[in-house]
Amino acid sequence: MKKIFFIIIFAASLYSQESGSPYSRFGLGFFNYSISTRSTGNAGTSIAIFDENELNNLNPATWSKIKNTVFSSGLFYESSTSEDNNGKKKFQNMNFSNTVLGVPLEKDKEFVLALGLFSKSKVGYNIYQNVIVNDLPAKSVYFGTGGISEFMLGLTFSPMQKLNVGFKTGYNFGEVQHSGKLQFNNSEYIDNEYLNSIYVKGFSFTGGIIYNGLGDLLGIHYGNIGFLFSPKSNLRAKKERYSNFSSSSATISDTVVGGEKELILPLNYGLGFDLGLNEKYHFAFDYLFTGWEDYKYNGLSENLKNSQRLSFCLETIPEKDLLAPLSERARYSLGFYYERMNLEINGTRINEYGITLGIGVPLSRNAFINSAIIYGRRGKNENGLILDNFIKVHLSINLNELWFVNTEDQ
Amino acid sequence: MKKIFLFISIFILLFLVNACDDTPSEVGISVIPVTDEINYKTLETDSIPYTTEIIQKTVIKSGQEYLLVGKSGNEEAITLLKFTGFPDTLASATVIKADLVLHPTNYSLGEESTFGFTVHKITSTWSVTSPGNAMVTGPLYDNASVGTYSGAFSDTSAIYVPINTSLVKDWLYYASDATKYNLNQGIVLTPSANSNCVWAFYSSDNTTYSDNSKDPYLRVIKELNGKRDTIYVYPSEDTYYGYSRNFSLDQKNIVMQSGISYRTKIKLDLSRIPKHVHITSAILTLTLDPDDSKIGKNSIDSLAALANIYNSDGVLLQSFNVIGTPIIDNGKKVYNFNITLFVQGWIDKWINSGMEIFHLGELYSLDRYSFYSKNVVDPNKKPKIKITYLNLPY
Repeated sequence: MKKIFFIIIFAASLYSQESGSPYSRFGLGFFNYSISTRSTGNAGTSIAIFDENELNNLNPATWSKIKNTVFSSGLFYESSTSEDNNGKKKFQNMNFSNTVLGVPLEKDKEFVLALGLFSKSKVGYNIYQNVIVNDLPAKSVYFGTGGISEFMLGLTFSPMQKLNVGFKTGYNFGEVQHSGKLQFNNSEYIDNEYLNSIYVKGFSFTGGIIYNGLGDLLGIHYGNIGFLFSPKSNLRAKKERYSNFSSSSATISDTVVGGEKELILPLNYGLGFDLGLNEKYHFAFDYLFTGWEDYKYNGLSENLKNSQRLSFCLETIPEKDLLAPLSERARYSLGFYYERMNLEINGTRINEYGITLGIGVPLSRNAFINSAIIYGRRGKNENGLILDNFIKVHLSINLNELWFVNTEDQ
Repeated sequence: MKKIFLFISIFILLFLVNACDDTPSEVGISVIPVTDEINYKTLETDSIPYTTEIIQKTVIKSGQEYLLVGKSGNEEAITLLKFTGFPDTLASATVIKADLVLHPTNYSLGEESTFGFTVHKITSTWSVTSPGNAMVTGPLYDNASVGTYSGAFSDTSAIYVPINTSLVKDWLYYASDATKYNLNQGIVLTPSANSNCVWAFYSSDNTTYSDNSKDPYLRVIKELNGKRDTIYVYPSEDTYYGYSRNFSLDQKNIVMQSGISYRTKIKLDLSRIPKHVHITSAILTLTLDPDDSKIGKNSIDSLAALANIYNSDGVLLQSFNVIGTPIIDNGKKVYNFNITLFVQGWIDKWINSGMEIFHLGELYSLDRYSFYSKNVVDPNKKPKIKITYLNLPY
């Protein structure tokens, strides 16, 4: 049964990802830096938070503390409403977020090997506009979909006490589509349409470090400080345009395949703290910067702006005793984030903020379910912009077993 | 635990089927960049500068339907015929009578009643592929006439033009001696001095009558050894040659002179049209100047625009034609050329060498088509260019 589950999860992870906002039109769509459900419940705060049950992809150094082989996979449900002067639009989507496997190779030095597949960016919009073309009424439809995924492989270890270092490389791949259609309600006019597809591939790298001796310095239960850095990535991207249009004498379908061009993903770096206030509570916050102004495809930027993200969370496990009721052994978190996004439209920077709730429930000694809810807002309904309100529900299952570890019996 | 896995698997599969509920709405249209828009844009004459240039084409007139003879203003046409198919056994025959038989077509240009031509012996070598400009100016045919004709035609019935029998006698003699064979270079039909008309005759290459019934030929009545009979000799070569005595390349109008042949090359400046657009329509409209045009009776009234595609080394790769047929617009005769294909090619990849406008009867007539240029005062008569393109984002 587990094998069937793994196969379903893995296959489904390869599905294209959707987003539900016109703001995702730009660049390669919305980037998702934190894909574990636990970190989602923590408002994305994860740079300095170790997790024994679920691997987050932001800082590979956080993988160090897993004790058993960990497999986790998640999915999410999103319901959003976009609002502007033209009205409101609702959007719903359900999809997978990640599949990650972490294997502890050596316990003393905390060597952990991890690999996984996750959705890195998402594009999704579907918009129409009634227009007049050549004195005829027509409908312009704009549709975007797709995104890029990353298959990552990483290693983390502890070179010295209280210090953990991790590296990962990711193979980025996927297709982003932007299409447009001009539909005439007139038999003498043929609909015109285009579909621009960008196929992306290439490697990116991330390094991270966590020092966990901050508690002694601060006189608290424990304290971690983490830092991550991901340099610019030179990916390759090929553009293909399919178009179907009418000329004065014929309807023509045309496909133009461009050569591979350089696509530069910008650097990002982040700093995070995780402070154990006592045995039950810890408080964490992250700062993340991404240099989107360096984003380029085929030498052209999209006038994106550098983004910054701040997130905070407070997390608690009321009772760690295995004999305690399940509700007391569960992990609860509350988080808040604010992101100055990479978009500037009509002279106005687009911001996003949200609050999160997370619950992690141990099903058994080897299984853990994490869930998270985000309520967020993006943009605003003024100056020709749109206001997105969204709720996302994340769910992941985390399984762990002993692999590759010699027991005393052996 | 198995139940949990089963539940989650089913849950996932259900949502995979119903994953996305997404119908288009107008919300968010304001943030879609204008570069994504599919739109039509139209550029008209004022936004499309162009240049015109009159060029003369070297036209090889072999294998043509018609043989033109006559004069229209400064433009003239002469017809050359060579008859070499005589038996080599008639050197001592007596030529009793010889007639050049021609079949007129219904094409004529000018005052039909003045039509007339004289026949002369050609004195230099020629072939249909190179009649040579010297045919006009040099002493390449005898001034002495060996035959004349005058008068109009009411149908395509054969006309018989008596030819000097001495000339034909010489041809019979040349046919019997291989060393003198080349002395027979045939005859040339030149317009009479008072003729102001051009007429077309069927050539030996005409395809209108596949049974050769309208081909020109020479009818010779000869007598040899007291026996008289008639032989018919068809031309081994025939062609016509048109020329102008005073054609200026600096015309006030856009001019096409058939038969010689002059064309006008028009080159559009398309720099205002972005790359990667689809040209949905490109129309060039020319308005005929009737006062400066001379168009014959029963002439083909269509014109063509020709785009030659060259590589960067100037080697011709391909040619494309589009036809322009006349319509009457507010009493004016206008020609519309759908040059969509050309403009698309010039935008995409072709080297823009312009397009040549020429009369489709360029090889069959001496017509002059003259169109108002941008210099004309009346804006309604100026050439018009209208290009509509579809911007499909790339």
